[in-house]
Amino acid sequence: MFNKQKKPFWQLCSVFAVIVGLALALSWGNRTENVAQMDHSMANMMKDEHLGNTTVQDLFTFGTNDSVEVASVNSEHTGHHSQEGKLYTMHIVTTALLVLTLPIILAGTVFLAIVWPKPNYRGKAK
Amino acid sequence: MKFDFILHWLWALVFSILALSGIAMAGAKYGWVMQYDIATADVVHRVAAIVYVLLTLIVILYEIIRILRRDKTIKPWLVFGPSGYGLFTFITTLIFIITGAFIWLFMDSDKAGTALSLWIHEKLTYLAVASVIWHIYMKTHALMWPKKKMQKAK
Repeated sequence: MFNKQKKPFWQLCSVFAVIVGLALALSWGNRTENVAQMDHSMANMMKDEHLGNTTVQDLFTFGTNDSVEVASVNSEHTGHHSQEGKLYTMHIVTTALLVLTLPIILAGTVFLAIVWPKPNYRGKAK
Repeated sequence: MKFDFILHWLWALVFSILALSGIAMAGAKYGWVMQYDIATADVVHRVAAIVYVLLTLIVILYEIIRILRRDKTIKPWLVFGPSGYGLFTFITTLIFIITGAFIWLFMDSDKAGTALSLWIHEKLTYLAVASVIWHIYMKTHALMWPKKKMQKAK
């Protein structure tokens, strides 16, 4: 009944079970757990809030959705943040890398989508 | 050590970091994964995401070079492939990157688009994590120490 070949898998499972058990035990007494009252995930909450009567056009409508009051509060809030810190530099670098690499990845995907389905896509065997 | 082997395990490491930090941010229910430190989870997730994007680019370029060179050698450790789990990984990776980039870039300007992207991103995470468990189960033999090496050592 027990497949001996799959023994390493179950060994790995037991290691992960111990790690999960330790993480749960460490967070058990964490006070922030009591503060957190949200039962839904972030994605489900955003879906309920913003995707009720959304059309396809709404999905691609860009612009600030905040009210004037919220926007002014946010702009004041952002004014307090230092834009010269390491975190800000990291944000700029990572965003630039994302924007630069995305078109190359999409181009590569198109290339592979054309070539992969062909039976001899790596040419004929010599 | 083979290039595809290194890429595979580097990929596994980055995916694990992304999954853990992402699940920690998914909702209060899973915050215990990173001790409810959402700010750290956010930074870790973004940095790991860039490594993930760069790894994806490397694997795609490696595959394109192999095709152009008509290299027919079998690479069992390569992350992407034209069929099976390699194809599944390729498709899920693309969806992760596109939805992740949308959340990253348009979180403040397009709430509806962000909501849909976030929903897809989260649900796909559960599917991908489940598939990884299945993948490990199916490829358990790779976790075994080679018998010949053991015997030689003895």
